[in-house]
Amino acid sequence: MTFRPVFIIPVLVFFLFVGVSLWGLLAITNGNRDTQSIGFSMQGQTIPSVTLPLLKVTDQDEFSLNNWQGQAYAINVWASWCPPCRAEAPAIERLSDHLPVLGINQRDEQENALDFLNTFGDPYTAIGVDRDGRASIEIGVQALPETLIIGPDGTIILHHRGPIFANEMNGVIRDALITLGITP
Amino acid sequence: MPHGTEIGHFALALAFGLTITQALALFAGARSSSAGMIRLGWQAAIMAFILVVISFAMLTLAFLRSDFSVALVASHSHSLKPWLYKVSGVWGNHEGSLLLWVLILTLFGALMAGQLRRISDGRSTMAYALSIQGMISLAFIGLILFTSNPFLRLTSLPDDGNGLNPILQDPGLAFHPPMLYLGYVGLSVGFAFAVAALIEGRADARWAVLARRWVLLAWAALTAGIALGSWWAYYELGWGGWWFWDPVENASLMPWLVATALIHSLRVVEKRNLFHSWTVLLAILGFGLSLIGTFIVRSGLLTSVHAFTNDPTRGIVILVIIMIAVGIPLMLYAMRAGTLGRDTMAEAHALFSRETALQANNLLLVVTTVTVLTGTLYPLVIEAVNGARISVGPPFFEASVGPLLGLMLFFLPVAPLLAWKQASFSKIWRQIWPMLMITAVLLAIVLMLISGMNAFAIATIGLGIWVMTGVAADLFAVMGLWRQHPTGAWRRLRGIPLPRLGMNLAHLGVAVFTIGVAGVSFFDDEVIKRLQIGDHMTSGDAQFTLTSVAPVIGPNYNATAATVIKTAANGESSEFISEIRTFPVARSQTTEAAIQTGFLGDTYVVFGGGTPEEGFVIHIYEKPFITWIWGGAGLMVIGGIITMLGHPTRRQEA
Repeated sequence: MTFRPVFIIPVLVFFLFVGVSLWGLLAITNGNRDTQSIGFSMQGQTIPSVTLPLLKVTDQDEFSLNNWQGQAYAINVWASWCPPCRAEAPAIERLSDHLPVLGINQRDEQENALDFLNTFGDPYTAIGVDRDGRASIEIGVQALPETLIIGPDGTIILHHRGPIFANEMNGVIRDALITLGITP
Repeated sequence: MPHGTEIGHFALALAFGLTITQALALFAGARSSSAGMIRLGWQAAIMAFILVVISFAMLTLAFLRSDFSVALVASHSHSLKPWLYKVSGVWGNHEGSLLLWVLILTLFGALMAGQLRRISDGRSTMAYALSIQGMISLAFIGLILFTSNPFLRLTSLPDDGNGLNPILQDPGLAFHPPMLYLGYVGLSVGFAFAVAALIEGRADARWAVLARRWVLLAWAALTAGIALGSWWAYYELGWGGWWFWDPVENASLMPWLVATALIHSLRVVEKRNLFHSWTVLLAILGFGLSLIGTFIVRSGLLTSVHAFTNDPTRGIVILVIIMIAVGIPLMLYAMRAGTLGRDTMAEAHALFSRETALQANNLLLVVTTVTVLTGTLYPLVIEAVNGARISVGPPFFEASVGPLLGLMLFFLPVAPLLAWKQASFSKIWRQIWPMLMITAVLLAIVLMLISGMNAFAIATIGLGIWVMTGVAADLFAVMGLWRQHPTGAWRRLRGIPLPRLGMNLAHLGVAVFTIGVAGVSFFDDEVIKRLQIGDHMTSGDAQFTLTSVAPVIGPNYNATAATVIKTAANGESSEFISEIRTFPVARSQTTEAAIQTGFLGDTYVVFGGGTPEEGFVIHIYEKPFITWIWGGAGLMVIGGIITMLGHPTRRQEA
């Protein structure tokens, strides 16, 4: 037994990993690793009606997007197991100063979700529980976290994939708010 | 010592030089079989360790004395912090944790030097291994000195330090990272042996005997480190769970899975002189994944709750180290792997044999590792493709890793019963059917006691019982209860070889762990309510009364404490105090859960804040069998250590 081609596989896989990592790091250092570059199929369309059970007991008895017809609002899809969701929590808090933010808690355990809110704050006007992720698919959500801004007529003004940081607050979010006539 | 910091810095620079000597002298000594060079090499390894100890002690002293002229102390400590957290503050940051990493690295170097001094058989392998170890130490000391120096002074003195992340202010932090590093770094020894095997072009039974004790030690430490981390997150951080599939956790799980595969495959090399190239690859990957894990966590490549530095520039330096440390051995592997077993006359083994069973174990563990790696890196790959930052989370891991582990548990009890080379099916069947019967009976009893379980719960508990039965069967076999007269059974059990006892303890640990996981995953329960003082709520058959909510002043925090009295069905009562702590210096908040721990599980009370007008939010969680998770891990650690202690130091002809 001497040289066999299979023994090369580990080193090839390894250098693939190194390549992807190097790309990631260089992109961060050059500051052009941004999170808004994919096209959004749902942007410009009307938000489908979605009804979900509530995460917390409040005066409403269910979470329904229909109740919000006629006013601008935002939807933030999150979960306690999603580290970027923790990272964007302060920005969502700031967003909630400008318009009501509805939370959709996706594929999560209730206790973990409540712990998350205790730890990172609860900026949500209401939170719907999307246990199997089906409602998220309905509104075009593919990954966590994602944020949508909806106009009074139900049109999706902005569909943002990935966490919201200062860059987004001063960029896409600001633009969407201005479209709605809200001064950010 | 006013210049302690400078002494520490200087000692580290000297250690840097000594590791160069260690690497070069041992390499040359092993090549030319020069006893003098080898002696110089191991002496340098021991000296390097002593110097790093001095360096580490000086940094610790600066933290203890709150010497804020040292930049690291000023940004990570505070004069009001209790002394234990001043000490743990040393490694609660990037620079200090690297120094701890180097301390452990050189400790292993010194231990290997001790072994090299004594042995006569396999000296050149050992010398090559210690030389490689020296190169790793060299790289990390260089990383500290040139990019992450903990000894830098400030020119203007701050009045006080910047505190420490309050989450990190916990006894858990005093023990968890050092233990984890002991595991990560311990795997460097197995790695060094693998590279030595590639240099010499030989990974035979003698090599496996030399390497296996080190890998067992590292594996036990890694198990303990991961378990402590999980314990810490659950008990102290009040995260309510014991495993979150966070990138940092996965980074420690991957090397663990590979190390577990490695201790099993080394056994095959040792006993049967097979699997050479595979074992060497596992040893390289074990440490490689430790490095990659550290890299992922430190570079800011992935978002994690645990991350304490996000510095891409440092990340690139670590990536370069990984490229050299893992890339070169893998290239060497591509060229040399085929020659590793050339001198051995390997005999074929039948499909139905222990070799096959261990192969299956290895395959499943490696597939699990690849799955975890995929889930961890997937967000990064997606981002490279279309720019979206995502997280795959527990649903992916539970669905993909669960069945793989289940399959492993199913085969686990059978493997030790199988003979090497060729097992007899009829003989095995005679042992297996009573085991199956016992498992079925025990499972039936459980099913009668607890109703309403779903199929997953039944399967998981069944597997736990099945593995326990396997351990009992193996001990019965040792006692000779299957064949021999029962008198003398006890004597035979006491005469059990330590490695076999260790293996059984570790496997028992796996079973206990499995039952713990089943308990928490399928039977946990929670109640949340808003209560006024004096109100009560019920959970299970116990009643919980909120008796008071009051402010508390801690050593460096202010807190609001809620006191809840639990009254059990039999009238016994106990008190739970849960606090929300505010740390003014760090400007952050933590929740301290009140937990009552019992053999059959935990009751967990968390205060969620509130006002007298609106009421106070109280969460009550029941976590059945959660303690079994750590109990199981503890058994695995003890089993690993016993196996290591009983492991032969040189090859015995069977």
